[in-house]
Amino acid sequence: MRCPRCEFENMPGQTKCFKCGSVLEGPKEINVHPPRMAGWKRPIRSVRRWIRGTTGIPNLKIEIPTPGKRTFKCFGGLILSIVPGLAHLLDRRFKEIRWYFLAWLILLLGSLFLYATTTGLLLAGLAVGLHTWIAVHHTVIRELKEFGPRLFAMIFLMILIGILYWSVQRVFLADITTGYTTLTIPYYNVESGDCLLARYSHAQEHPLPRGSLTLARMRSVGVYQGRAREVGGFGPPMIVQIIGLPGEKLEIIEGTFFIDGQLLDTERYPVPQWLRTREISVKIPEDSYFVSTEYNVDRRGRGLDERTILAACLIRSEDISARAFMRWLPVGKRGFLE
Amino acid sequence: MDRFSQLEFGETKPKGKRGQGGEPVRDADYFGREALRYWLAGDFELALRNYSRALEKNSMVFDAWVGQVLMLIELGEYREAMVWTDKALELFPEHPELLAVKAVAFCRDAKFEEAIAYSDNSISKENITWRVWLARAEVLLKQKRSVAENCISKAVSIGGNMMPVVKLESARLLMERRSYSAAMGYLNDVVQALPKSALAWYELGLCQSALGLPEARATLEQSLELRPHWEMAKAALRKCGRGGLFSRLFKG
Repeated sequence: MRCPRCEFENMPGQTKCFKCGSVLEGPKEINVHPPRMAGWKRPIRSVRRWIRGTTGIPNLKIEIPTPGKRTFKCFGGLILSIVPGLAHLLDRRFKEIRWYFLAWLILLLGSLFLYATTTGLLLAGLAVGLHTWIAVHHTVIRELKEFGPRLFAMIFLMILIGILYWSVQRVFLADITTGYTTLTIPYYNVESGDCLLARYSHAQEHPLPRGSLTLARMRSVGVYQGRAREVGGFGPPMIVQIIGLPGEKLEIIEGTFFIDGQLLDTERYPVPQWLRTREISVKIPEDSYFVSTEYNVDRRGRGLDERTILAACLIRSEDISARAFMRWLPVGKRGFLE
Repeated sequence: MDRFSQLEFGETKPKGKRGQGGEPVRDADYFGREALRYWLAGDFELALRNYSRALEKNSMVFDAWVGQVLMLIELGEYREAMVWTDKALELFPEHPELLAVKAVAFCRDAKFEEAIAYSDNSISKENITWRVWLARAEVLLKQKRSVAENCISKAVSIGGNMMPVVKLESARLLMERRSYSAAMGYLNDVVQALPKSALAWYELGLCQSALGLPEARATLEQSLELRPHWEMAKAALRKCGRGGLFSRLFKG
């Protein structure tokens, strides 16, 4: 039998060439169709090739662990780790992570204490990181020995826990929001720039009590050719005080509010600077409120006409989204409004 | 018989064995020629299929195994190419060409240590072919070693009746290294030997475009004429008309 490659004459019955080792007869069932790459793998492989080519790391392997006993064990531990430390507690290994747990608790409480601030957000991010570390510390770190899978597991888990925190905040603090005020009201110990906590559910009653600090969308007021004009669009929500209720007659005379001819307490219902230059008398329409807020208007409001003022201060009830119940920031003034 | 004498391009009647009624016999040789034709037209997917069909007819055709691996490499499927080389190596153990194409697959997949190892292995065998030298050149080019050009010259010197293909492959390698002038010398020979190869015209067009020669457009249009609706050639033609960033910046 002659070898097709080297022409060596082999003994009959030989399956491979004695000289060069080539197969003398093709197997009956030989698969001649090569394996093909799935389209979705192309960009992943390109990135890995680029990393190999640029970093010189010869065999960078970031493989998704194949499902198996080990994976399920990891997965079970991760599910339990939704509550940080629970998996360790059940395995009686809590001591391993007690300091991490304590740090996580402190960070979480710190982030709640400084809710709605950038520091609070930073602490929440650190809490997510520690939560992830506690979770991977249970089984992932032990089971996955290689750097690549470990890194992949940590990043994946951190994203999941980040989503979990965001969801929890959305569910449990769904009724609560924050807003900043430009008003200074001595009665409430509120000053311009303070941050107040407000609840959406408290804004449902109608009419809202006089003096309520509410979160509302206000119309923008601009100055054009030396005269203040209502611009028309809505600015970001801000904390305003309700002065006049639907159907009442409101007057501003000599820097004080009058409702149906009755003088309002200036400690509790101060007139903002920009409204003190004018005397106003208005009948508040049904389903609307007259609210007080400070605007930064040049020349102390000179040039403002009554139409512009009313367009800014008369707001419809649907523009009020929440009612403030607590001074939140600065921390030193924290307390309930009434 | 000259291998390229059996190539068919469009209107030319296919040569080779003929059955009753004048139809060509669809044996392994026929599909091998078809695969080569598609490869020279730059259609690597169809070339791969034809190599598979050639192997369906006769699983011991070595050129078809190598061709499959090369097409997988051209299509960017390097891991599959490596797997398939291993499969071919079971049938043709320690074959230098298979070791060489595996080195190329490793090299393109940025696994340079393995590429060097396989290239060393292939070059140490007896009766090494032009493909082994070209693979060696590619691996050395990645390491920016000037000796790579000697490997290309060696491959061209032993090209024999496959000279146009060797020159085409050499030119593609040189273009990777941005040696456009040297590549164009080879490509001019290739388009004379294979005037109906869209791939050769396309590569020549790219080369001329890189050198800023005005005939690049006509060359690329020629490749499009030979293979209409070829997206790569269309993209190259668009790029050729547009010019580079600086030429666009300072264009009046």
